[in-house]
Amino acid sequence: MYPKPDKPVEDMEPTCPDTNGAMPSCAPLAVPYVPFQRRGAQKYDHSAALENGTLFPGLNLPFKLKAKAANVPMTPLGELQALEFVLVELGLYLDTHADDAQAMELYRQYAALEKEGRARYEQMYGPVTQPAAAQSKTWSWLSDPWPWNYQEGGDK
Amino acid sequence: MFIYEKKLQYPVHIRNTNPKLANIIISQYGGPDGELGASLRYLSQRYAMPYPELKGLLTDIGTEELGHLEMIGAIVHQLTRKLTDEQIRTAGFDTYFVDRTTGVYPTAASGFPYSAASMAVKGDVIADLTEDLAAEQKARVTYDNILRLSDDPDVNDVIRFLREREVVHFQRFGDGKRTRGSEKELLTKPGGRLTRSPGCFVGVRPSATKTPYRAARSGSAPPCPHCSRPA
Repeated sequence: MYPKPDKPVEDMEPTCPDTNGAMPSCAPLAVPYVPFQRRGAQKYDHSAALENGTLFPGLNLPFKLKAKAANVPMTPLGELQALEFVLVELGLYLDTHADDAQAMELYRQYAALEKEGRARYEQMYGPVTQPAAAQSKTWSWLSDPWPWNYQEGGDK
Repeated sequence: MFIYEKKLQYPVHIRNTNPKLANIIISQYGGPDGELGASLRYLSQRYAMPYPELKGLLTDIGTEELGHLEMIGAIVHQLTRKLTDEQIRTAGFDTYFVDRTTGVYPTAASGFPYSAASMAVKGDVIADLTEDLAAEQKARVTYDNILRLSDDPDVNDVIRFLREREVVHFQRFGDGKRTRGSEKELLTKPGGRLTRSPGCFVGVRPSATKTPYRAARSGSAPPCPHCSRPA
């Protein structure tokens, strides 16, 4: 594994705001850098995370022509998309911050919520994955609408 | 393996037909900086990637990009599914329509079909991660340009989301480069032995470099050539 610091980054030196990240103390020539995101960064809740496209306010850097995030209605599908989005976002974060216990705990909590949200959604609208079709009497996997077939006024 | 989830990552609800806009957005399906190329790039780079956190990152981002490919396909489909005869003839979609009708085909907006020549797999940690950083920025600019060209709020909501994902992925590849793709790699021979002092590894925080500092003081390791202070 890669070398771990003796103590959490945020305890080591005067902290920068979330948006600054941490740079290496010795930055050699010929190697480009992206500041390493600090642990303990501020986080949105799951619906704001989905709407903004990131869990982290410090990484929310929209284009000037479309700065405002959309308002995604928290239908059973929207709720499931938001919960799963947090898992995707935290999963990527944990890939490079595997020793962040706080983020790991948050991942655990959202994984439990996502499981509930998925069960709720599948009960109302049918299976999200093929094995979930086993819970219905007939082969419900084929039921409309498919994800790209949004019907106007429909829930999907 | 991959298992399909019968839902999009982010909702795509496009109300208005707009074939001209579809003709532009198709570039993120099969264009030079599109989502197909992104997913193939990352999923293919995994095999030569030696470190677990980078294997994980490429797998997870590559998989997410497949979800983005599906979202772009959904946008193009919803922009063209109710075409009128008049729109087919006059809305700037005719050159696409003649070959693909309203099928969604991986092509650049220019009409050039998807080409793997637009992406790279070099089999080297630094080269591949630097390629990935550039790829995320190029995709981000393409989304900037789509926002410059599109005035459909339903489309722009989705494009804003996809653009923000490029920003986050750039940060993650940067984080990943700090854990591995660093000076340590540049100093490593094919056999895996460091050729010079590891005193100023990139990504190794000061507290983790105590041992090399001590080695340098006792004269058993050469000074780090890149540091302004002795290693």
